[in-house]
Amino acid sequence: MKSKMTRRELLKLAGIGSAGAILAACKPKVVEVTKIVEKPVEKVVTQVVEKEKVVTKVVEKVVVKTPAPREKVVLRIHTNQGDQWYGWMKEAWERNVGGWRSEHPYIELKFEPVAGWTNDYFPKIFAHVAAGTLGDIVWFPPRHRNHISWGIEYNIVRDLMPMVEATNYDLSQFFPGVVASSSWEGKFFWMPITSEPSCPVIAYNKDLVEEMGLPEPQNDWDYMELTDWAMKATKGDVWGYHVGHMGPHPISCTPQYRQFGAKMVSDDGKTALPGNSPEAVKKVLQWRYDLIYKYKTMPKPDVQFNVADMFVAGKLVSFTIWPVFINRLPKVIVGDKFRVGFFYTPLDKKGSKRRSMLNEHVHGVTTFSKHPEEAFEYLKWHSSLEFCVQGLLSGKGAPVGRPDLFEDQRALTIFPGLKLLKPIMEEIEPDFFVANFRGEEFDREWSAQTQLLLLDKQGTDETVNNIKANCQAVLDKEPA
Amino acid sequence: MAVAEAQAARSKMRMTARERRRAFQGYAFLTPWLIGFFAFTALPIVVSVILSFTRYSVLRPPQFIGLKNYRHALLGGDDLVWPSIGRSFYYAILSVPLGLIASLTIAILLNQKLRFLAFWRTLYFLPSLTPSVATAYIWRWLFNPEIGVLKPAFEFVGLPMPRWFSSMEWAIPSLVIVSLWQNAGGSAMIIFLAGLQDVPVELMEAAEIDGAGRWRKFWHITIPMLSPVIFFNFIMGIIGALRVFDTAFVATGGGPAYATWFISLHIYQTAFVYFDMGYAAALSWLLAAIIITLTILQFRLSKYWVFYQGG
Repeated sequence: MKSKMTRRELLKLAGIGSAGAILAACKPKVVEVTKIVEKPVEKVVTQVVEKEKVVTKVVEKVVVKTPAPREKVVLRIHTNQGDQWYGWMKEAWERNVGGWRSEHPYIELKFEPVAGWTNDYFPKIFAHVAAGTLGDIVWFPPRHRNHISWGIEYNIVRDLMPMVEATNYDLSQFFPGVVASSSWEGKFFWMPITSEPSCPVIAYNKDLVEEMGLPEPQNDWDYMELTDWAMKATKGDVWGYHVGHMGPHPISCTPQYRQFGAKMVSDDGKTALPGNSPEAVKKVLQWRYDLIYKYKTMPKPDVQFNVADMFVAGKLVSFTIWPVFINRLPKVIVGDKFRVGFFYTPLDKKGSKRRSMLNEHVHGVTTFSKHPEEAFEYLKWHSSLEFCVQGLLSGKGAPVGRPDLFEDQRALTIFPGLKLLKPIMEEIEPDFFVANFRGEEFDREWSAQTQLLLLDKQGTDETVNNIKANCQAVLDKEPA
Repeated sequence: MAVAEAQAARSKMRMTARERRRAFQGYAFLTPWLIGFFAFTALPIVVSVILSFTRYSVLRPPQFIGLKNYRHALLGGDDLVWPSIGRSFYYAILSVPLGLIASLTIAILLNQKLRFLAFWRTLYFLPSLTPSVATAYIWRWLFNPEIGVLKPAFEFVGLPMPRWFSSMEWAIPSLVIVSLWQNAGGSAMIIFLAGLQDVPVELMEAAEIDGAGRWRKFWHITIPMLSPVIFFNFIMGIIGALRVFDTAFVATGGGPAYATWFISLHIYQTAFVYFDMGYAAALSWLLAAIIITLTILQFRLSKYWVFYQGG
């Protein structure tokens, strides 16, 4: 009897084993199919109608569809892997925030988070669309309202308005600008998961300002008042003010252009810098250029975005920040090193109306979803007050554009900056609209020309002319 | 006679049962790799050729447009193509010769009889194992013009510090410096080291007897004997440099004002940000054509300077 396996037998077995493994790997995936069974039941409703002190009782029979005990529904959610989205959503579901999970025991959430940003996320979503395997809910960080394209151009997300109306869901619980941003010709495509104004606040080093004997900055300052203050704050190797996160990019600097009366794109989304906009843009760019070369309150632009490091190192007195930094800067980045104060970005002139731009992240229900009602239920939950408050308290979530959140005492204890942001959110303006949905290309051209100016490679007039011409060339392309 | 010879040849070609079995086993073992090769390499290559003649945005079916993508790229329809190819060449012209010199220098140093030789070799090889993204982040911090670690060093010697990645003039040289740090001690150096150890000792001894000094031995023996290795590293270096992507993507994002917008960055942006897959495929084939042409040219020129032992 043979006790040892020959080499040939070993090879044969290995070959058969490999073939088996390949066949097993190629086995079709078992897809779980869930189904909701809805049965009409009769329900008696008593309605009381009061008219001129005469009480009349009207009894009528209304047939309402009430779901029978439901079968399990699995919602597939494609979202960003960051803590702000996947991290907090998963935790909120596990913690049964607001009792939503126990109220919807038949809904199971299956998160499919994607690491990285849109250049990682979009290809995956598009591949799912092309293969017909997209889940129920998708995430989107809108840029110049290109999220509308997923509703009207590509048919990836569905209009939520029929479900809003069917469930009497009150959209007025959000700031009007938030609803307007995701609406198009009476349709409503996306629910907010993060809503904030673009760069409306300047952070400053309180201790350094006191040390220098400078006055406290004021919320109603115009640009020249800020400039004068910043020039006094610039001493030795310490810079007084940096445009910081407002940068050269339209997504962060739009409020400043609006403040001076510029429209980056016409309302129909087809013309770059319409009307007197070039003049207004020129004023803004000249001010930015002068900050570097004339007033010398900030260094030349740096691709490395190191303003927070400079601030912490005491090399910078003040800089414009994203709202999320209102919380992060004193608590996480600066710590005990010095006290941090905040004030609004300036106005073009005293008494002007403050202009703004909404920056947001949203979720929509896909046209592929077999469970749109349940998916909408989920969106309602993640945009609810309790979900948002608990999200802020957990340190993971972000503010959603709803007024009650901005005055919620629990939220204010953890994020006092909400008080500062509330007046801006009340009048928040949606992002401008790029009709062919080539917002990224538009931004690239805008930023490149701005950088050339700030690097002193071309003049202000040339920059504005190039912005208008190059951005118009992008707008003239066929839809993305 | 002829018929008999043909029959004999056929019977020679016919496989025995044992040979057939062995061949079957061989193919069975090859199959997983072949499947992978065809599915993930050959098929995408073929598909990209086809897509380059289409307008394709993933969400809609490809639409055949003939040579429009190539015309758009070559005839000035896209203002960024030729400048970005120019930048890639500029990067290659700077980084490849400097990289070869640095790698060869390190290889020569590590070919000496030193103490702790294994330690030194490991130390020089380590940067090449560092992921490009981490490398880019580290150098962004080192090159920071306001609070970078290099700033005090420049101040100490009384030189103005360049603005490195933030300067249009310095952005590409800065990327070359990063590339040198990361790659000089990497695979090219290892190949040089192997080549150096292959230089016949008897040639060196004969030259010494003839009175040749170190420099003459290096120039007249080492370099000619290393020329096939230099040629190989040169070709691989050019191909790698023209495809430069990751460090630029992370460190500068193609900026400032397109100063580091290389052709590979343009292809990536076109494909995965704008989803113009057809045009991106055409740009990829344009880059491939440039690389293939350069490689053929280098092979043609190699006969003038590459010396093969016994060749």
